[in-house]
Amino acid sequence: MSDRAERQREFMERWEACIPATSPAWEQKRRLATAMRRVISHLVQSNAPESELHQAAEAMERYSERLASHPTLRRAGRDSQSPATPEEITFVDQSPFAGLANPLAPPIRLEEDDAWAVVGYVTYGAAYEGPPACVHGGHVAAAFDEVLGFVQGMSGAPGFTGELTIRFRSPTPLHRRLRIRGEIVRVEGRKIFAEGTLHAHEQLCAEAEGLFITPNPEQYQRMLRARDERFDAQGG
Amino acid sequence: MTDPNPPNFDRRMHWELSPEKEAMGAWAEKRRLAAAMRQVIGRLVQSNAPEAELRAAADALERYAERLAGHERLKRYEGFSESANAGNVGAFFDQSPLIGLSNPLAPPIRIEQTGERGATGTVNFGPAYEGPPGSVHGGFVAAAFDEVLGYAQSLAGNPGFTGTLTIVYRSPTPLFTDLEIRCEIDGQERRKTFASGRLFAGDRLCAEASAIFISADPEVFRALLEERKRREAASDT
Repeated sequence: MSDRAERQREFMERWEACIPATSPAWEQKRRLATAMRRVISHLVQSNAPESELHQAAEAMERYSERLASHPTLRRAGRDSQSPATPEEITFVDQSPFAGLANPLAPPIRLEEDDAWAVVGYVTYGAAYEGPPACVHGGHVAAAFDEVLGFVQGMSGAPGFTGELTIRFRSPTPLHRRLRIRGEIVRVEGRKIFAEGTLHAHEQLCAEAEGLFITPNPEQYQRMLRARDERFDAQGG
Repeated sequence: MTDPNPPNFDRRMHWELSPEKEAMGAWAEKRRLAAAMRQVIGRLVQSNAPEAELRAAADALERYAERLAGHERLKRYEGFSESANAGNVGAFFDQSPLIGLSNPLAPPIRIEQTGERGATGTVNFGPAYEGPPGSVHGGFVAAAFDEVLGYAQSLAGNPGFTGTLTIVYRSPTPLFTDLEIRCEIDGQERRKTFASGRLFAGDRLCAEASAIFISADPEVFRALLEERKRREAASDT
């Protein structure tokens, strides 16, 4: 097996290891996130009466207080038995685009495609609307960042987005299963170049190019320390 | 709908009618619920809450989603002017996934016009928007630029949809920090409007963007609205 195929296989094994919820609490957290997504989708479209919204707002505020009373997770160290790194587990559960436990995420479901390529499947509901019945252009751009950001990890030295260009070709429909394909086109030292397309059935809706830059280890450690400080300052 | 100026054509006018306007009645409660949901989302992703509590919350939310689904639906693109006149904040921008105070997905970004050809967005992203450690996900940086550049280009008249958007990431964009996204129109050429912007955390430049917007063909816009109405009619029955 080539070195590249080997790295891709390892990457996908670690990724797939993150997908099953590793505890009953995580399973419920994902279920709660799914229910939140449904509430968000209905809420933006609903003509619900004031009294009902008032009650719901009060209940939600109480629940928020209750959540705040629990200890918070640190990003790392959720499951030392998993072959996945803490960052990968976090990506699967907490990412605002692919994370099963994050109510912001549509979520995008990522699958391996062929060599150095992945496909993300996603259906956007009413809360993501930009032009009439279409996905907001900002979310189209964001989805590419997520899918290209995922595929470039197959290089073995994942980076952060350095540059991202989106070309919008036709409106991206809501309520339809979309297919976002991303692939690595080349690697030059610390730079990884990736490209992607977004289709609704046969229709090409958008294309993207991304440049990702692998951080040096000290830079990454500095970011982790800065993260701790920021979260500590929030009481989190 | 035969309105020659559908709401999406002038973001500025509708922005002024929407978030700047104090919500009353059901709209005020909807914004309050959305704000509480934003807070729950931020806390949920970081929380170590026990299983039983999460289960009870999920059960309650599933029931609430059913209940919400039972109400009549708003027609986002219709009756806007009537609702605005009635002191109702209106359906359009209050529902935006980036600026909408009634949409729990929105951070939300607040946008103001600066000068004749510029707009500044201010926003503070919480923990649910994290990408790199302690930093805003690059996807939300791109999305925020799309929104603020989109507002700026509408000031030129002849506003349109995003054609091309390029983001250059200069330094990590911090969470829990007031960010400023300063955008302006660079020029126009027939149906194209060029705009660019920069995102700052204090004095630090985090990202730059440039975009080309293509003015919307009224026929295309109308066709999208018609398609949307057909879908709404189909899902109501």
